[in-house]
Amino acid sequence: MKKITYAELTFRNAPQLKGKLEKAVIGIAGCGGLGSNAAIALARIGIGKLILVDFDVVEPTNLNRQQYFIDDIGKRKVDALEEKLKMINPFLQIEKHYEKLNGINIKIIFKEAHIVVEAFDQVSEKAMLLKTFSGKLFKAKCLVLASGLAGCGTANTIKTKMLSKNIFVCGDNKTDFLAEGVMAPRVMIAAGHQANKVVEIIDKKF
Amino acid sequence: MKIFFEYLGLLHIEGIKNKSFLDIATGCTVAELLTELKILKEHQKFISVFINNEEKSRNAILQENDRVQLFLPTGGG
Repeated sequence: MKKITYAELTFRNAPQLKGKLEKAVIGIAGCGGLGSNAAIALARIGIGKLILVDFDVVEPTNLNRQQYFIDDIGKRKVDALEEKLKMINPFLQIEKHYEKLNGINIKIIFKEAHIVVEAFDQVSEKAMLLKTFSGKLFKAKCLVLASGLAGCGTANTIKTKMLSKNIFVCGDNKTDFLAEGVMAPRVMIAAGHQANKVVEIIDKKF
Repeated sequence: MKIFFEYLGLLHIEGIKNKSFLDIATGCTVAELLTELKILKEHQKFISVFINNEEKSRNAILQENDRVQLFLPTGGG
């Protein structure tokens, strides 16, 4: 494999982020449409460490929005994503968890994370992560959720909103994936919002 | 007393305009507000409540001019 330096990778980054991104540890809760896209965006700009969590494998119907390829079908998502991330940013530290997150293991798995990107599919899982985050253990961390990224309507309804000083939600808060379908354009916009919010938080925090 | 009320996500609350002032009884808790708004029990368990940009429990007592946001996530990811 060809080699690059960290300086080359991050040469076009915003100058004020110098020395900050490599200190950040980001949890990616779910490596599907949102998670795989957000992870790749963060890897590209030189984030320090990603904690990838997903219990699933790549399926053909994932390819319309998730950052996987035909040859990845059948692989664990955390493994397939790790392969891609390493091809972009060899300096990135990656910790993988091939398991389903719950109210107990979230606290262990994301202990080191400064920020967690919520990238689940199901409402119950999103709500579970949010409720876990309201505990004392997570007061110093930030959570960036996604809500409403389905369909093929205007991209302009996807926004980032602050719920509290450490909890943010990205999406249109309206479109339902079961009724309206999910596709790469809007999913990537929502994931981009999440990755961008992570960068904003890092810029202020470090 | 009045609170400013907003709901996000797939919630639909009959007869209540989103982002509007609501008249509620003094001493009303979050739990009581959810019941008064007739939010379905199966939705309530997934709702997080933020008061003045701070997440609060169901026991929290609402105050005059509180900004109350109910958040029910929308699926997809």
